[in-house]
Amino acid sequence: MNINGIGIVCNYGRGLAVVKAALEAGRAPDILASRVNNDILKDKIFSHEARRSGRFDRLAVLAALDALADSGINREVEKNDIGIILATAFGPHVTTFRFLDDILSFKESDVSPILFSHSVHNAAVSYVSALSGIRGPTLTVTRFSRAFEEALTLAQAWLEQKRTRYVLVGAVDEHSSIMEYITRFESANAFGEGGVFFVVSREKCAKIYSQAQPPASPYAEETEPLQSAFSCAAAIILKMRQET
Amino acid sequence: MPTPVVISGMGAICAAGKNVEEIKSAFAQGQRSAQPPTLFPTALDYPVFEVKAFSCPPGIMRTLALAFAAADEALREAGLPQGLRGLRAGVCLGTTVASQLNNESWYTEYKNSGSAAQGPVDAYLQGNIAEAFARKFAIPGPALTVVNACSSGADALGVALSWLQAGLCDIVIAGGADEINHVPYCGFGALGVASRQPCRPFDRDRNGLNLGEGAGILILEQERHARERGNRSRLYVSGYGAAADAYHLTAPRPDGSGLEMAVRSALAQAGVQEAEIAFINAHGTATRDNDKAEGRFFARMFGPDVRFISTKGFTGHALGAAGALEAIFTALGLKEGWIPANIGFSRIDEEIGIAPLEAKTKITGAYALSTSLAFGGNNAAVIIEQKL
Repeated sequence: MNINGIGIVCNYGRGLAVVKAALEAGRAPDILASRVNNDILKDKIFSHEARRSGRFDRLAVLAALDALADSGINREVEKNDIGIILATAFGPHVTTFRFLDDILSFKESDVSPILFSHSVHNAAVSYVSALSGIRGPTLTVTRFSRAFEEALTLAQAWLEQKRTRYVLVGAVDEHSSIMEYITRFESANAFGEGGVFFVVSREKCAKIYSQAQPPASPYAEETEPLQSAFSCAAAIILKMRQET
Repeated sequence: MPTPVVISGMGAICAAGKNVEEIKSAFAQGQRSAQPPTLFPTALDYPVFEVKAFSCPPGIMRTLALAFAAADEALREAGLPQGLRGLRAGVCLGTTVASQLNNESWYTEYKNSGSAAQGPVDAYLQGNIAEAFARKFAIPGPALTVVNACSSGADALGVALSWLQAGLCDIVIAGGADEINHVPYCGFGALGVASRQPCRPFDRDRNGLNLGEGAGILILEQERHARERGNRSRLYVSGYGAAADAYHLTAPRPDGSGLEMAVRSALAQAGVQEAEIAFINAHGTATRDNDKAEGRFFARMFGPDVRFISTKGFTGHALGAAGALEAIFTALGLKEGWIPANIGFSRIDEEIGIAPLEAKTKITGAYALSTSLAFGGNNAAVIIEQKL
């Protein structure tokens, strides 16, 4: 399985160059428990049909579309042959709690249908699909740990079984004070915010970051999906630095 | 030639019955029971299909308890009442409600005081259903919870099929589970797709869905492994296909092209022509948009005489459990040689142009199709086969 493209949005900023600079400046290859800068999420792609998208959706869209662009794949030609697998620990929980705010604040009949439809975990992949035109199989999966590793394993199976030629596989989570509270006893690592996507394939594309399995996460098995995906990306970026 | 994947056991619980036999009996008699919700207080008047007299052990989510109940039945049928210890096993389950901390009283307490009881948090953090199954059944292999909205249960079967055919495991607990919860109850009402009457899938005057709940669990297994254990089931999952609409967050693509891509992919994997499909268990939610897109696609691809039903008139829409429950009902149709009436239907919708089966109907054939459509534009198709 080849890695053909990478897209990252995290507390360091958006894009490989920004993350590379942060790592080269000695910052840890960790997704920190802080929020992504709001300005990054105001990209013009969200000005029309995606204007109602939530924070979680936007993290997914930016990372996924950046990975696609980085790969150089002609998505107009390949749109039926690209699949998507998004791994998440908590999904768009901020929107879920906003919808609960609605239920608690208004009459049951007066709650927002828009908040409800954006509170489902797969809304983000729906936006990625609609904005990129991707028509292949799309999947959102969740576990509190190992979800990204499982997503990557499934992506490899899809490619070997020729279900698709390319898979956009990644992890997304958002940070909030309520999730910090909920998980305060759960992990020594703080739960962070961001989106990391890879384009993987068996194709010999113009760009191949790695010709083997993606680097395994350096973390223990109990690592949340976003941190695992970020660790994979950071390892590739650091390897690029050594090679150059 | 892909590895054949046999259904070595099935377990189901829903409003129509607490096991496969009870559900079969309700189907045969045309019984259904949409009633006002009793699981939470509400001023809304959308009927639901609850699993009655189901006792949920304290400290675990109802969704998980439903899934465990169906898994016990499926494992018994598979000849594995002692569980999966020592086997190269995996677990893949779909859900919607169990992936969210939809606990209003907990959230109210947290908002008011900045802290809240730990019990609901523990139930949530221990309630990821694939992780909970992996712990309970000591499953060493892959484990994933699929959160693809209403197609989650069908997509979980597809993931399991991929794992088995990739040789990642010999046996997988696959399916879906969901409970009726106040949050989606309000949400579907707000979207204007919940009906105030018992639902009428594919009917001209249909006006929305009824929420349901339950769990459908299939034990999927490499044929070789099942036979070595002495399991003789003749039911198989022979094909799975999925495709995205790339269209709208909540409405299906009107031309049904995403569903068509999914169905063609599933047929290709199974090596089956559309004429070989004995019947279709449709998603058939009874919403205006879903049934129109799905029904018109059936007519276009399978012809005017296609035999199809929606079983949601018996179960309501069980969200993440729906695709798995309906795959089980599809397998039962092939095994028993009959399928139930599309309960709730009485008048053909000229915009669809074809009608579902209005009475319990004898079925012959080796293959049947189950379709699932979801929020977000996911489409999934599962081909069930009975080898003669």
